[in-house]
Amino acid sequence: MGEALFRRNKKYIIVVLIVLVLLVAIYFSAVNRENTLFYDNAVSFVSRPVSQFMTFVGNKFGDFFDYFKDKKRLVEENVALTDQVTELEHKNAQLSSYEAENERLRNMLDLKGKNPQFDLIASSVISKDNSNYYGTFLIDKGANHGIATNMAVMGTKGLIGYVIETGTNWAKIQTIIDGGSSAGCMVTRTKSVAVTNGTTALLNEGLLSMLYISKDMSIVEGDIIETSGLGQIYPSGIMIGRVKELRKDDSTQSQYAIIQPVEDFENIKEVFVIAKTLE
Amino acid sequence: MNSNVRYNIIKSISFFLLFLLSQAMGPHIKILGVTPNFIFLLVLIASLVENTTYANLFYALVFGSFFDVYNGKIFGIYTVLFVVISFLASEIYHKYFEDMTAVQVLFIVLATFLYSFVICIFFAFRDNSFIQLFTQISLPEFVYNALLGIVLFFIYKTVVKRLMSPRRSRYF
Repeated sequence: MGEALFRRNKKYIIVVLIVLVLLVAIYFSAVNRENTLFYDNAVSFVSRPVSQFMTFVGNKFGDFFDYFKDKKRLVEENVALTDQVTELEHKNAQLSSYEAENERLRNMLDLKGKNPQFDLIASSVISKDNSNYYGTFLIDKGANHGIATNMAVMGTKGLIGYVIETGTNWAKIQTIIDGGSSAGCMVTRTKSVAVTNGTTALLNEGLLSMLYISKDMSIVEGDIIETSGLGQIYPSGIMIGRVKELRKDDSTQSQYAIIQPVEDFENIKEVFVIAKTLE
Repeated sequence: MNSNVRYNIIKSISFFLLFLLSQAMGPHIKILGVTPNFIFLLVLIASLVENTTYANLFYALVFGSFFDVYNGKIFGIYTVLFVVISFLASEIYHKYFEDMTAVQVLFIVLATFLYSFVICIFFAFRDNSFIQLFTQISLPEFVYNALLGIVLFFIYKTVVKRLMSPRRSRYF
């Protein structure tokens, strides 16, 4: 009878077993994501070459539509121009694109000069989080390149996040706008310290909040916020963003700020992992 | 190699390439700040169109885990959702409603709502902001997934029908 019952319900039993195994995996992953690293490494080994190509295709797709938005705007503004001028505008847009790319690459090269105290490892973004609830992405360098978990990550303008998971030739970065992220910060003008916090509700706007603002702290919209160096992960002096808005929490009557990060998390393509802070 | 094995090899490779393409294109096709979960829709549609329990479980498990590797921080959350939702949809549909397109479409809508709602509940526990997450992320994500899912469903059915037609099936 038991065997007949098992045969009749075999698929349900299998599904329940799969779900139980996954719940155990979720528990071990939540305790320490590196508990499931072997599987992540296996998937990455198989998919990474194709993934890099697909990311290249995706970026060109995005650039293609941005180019047409600019062209449409220019044509609308210059409706009286002749075909020759339109062609010159087209060539000018291409040159602007090359100039922006040149500026971006020069900023990358200049970054090491501006930050001689950091040993930086340049990396490319190979995949961004598509879950709508997390602010993470994958880069193309990992343990084989000297990257380890809890290393801070910055862009050409400021702080991006830190490494939460490292594979052999890839790493996962948690950005400062991710809901589980926080960073010790200070107002550059007054040296007052506080904490920036990513929240899921602000994730899609690319913003973060700044908490623990004391009543006597002088802070105004437009103030520059940088890392304070307090905490285990982020060295001091890296720009985070600017104060966009000051708000009051209705329940606690305490003040908090909305910060506009200096980095554009929607369009990150290259990042720098701070391998170590040089003396 | 029998035709079923060949079909599943081609399907697996196609799903794999489409998954990586959706990962790359996702940030560029956002609407109201949300990205559709293309691979979840494919797994769900496959489970509704094809009454092959173990194959459907395989795809849900493998591609759910791929999604977990590439996205998020805790491994297993999306895999559980992929497995449970696609299995439930497939079991209920194939047991009680076989060959009813309107019901399949309804199941796609219900499953995408369940997917968005469960994830919203999970994050609402963490962030203590259910209304905000539901209106800003969960609801737009559900609508986007549902609409895209319905379009993909008809494309998938057409492709499978053409691949499995008597003239073509000799290639499998």
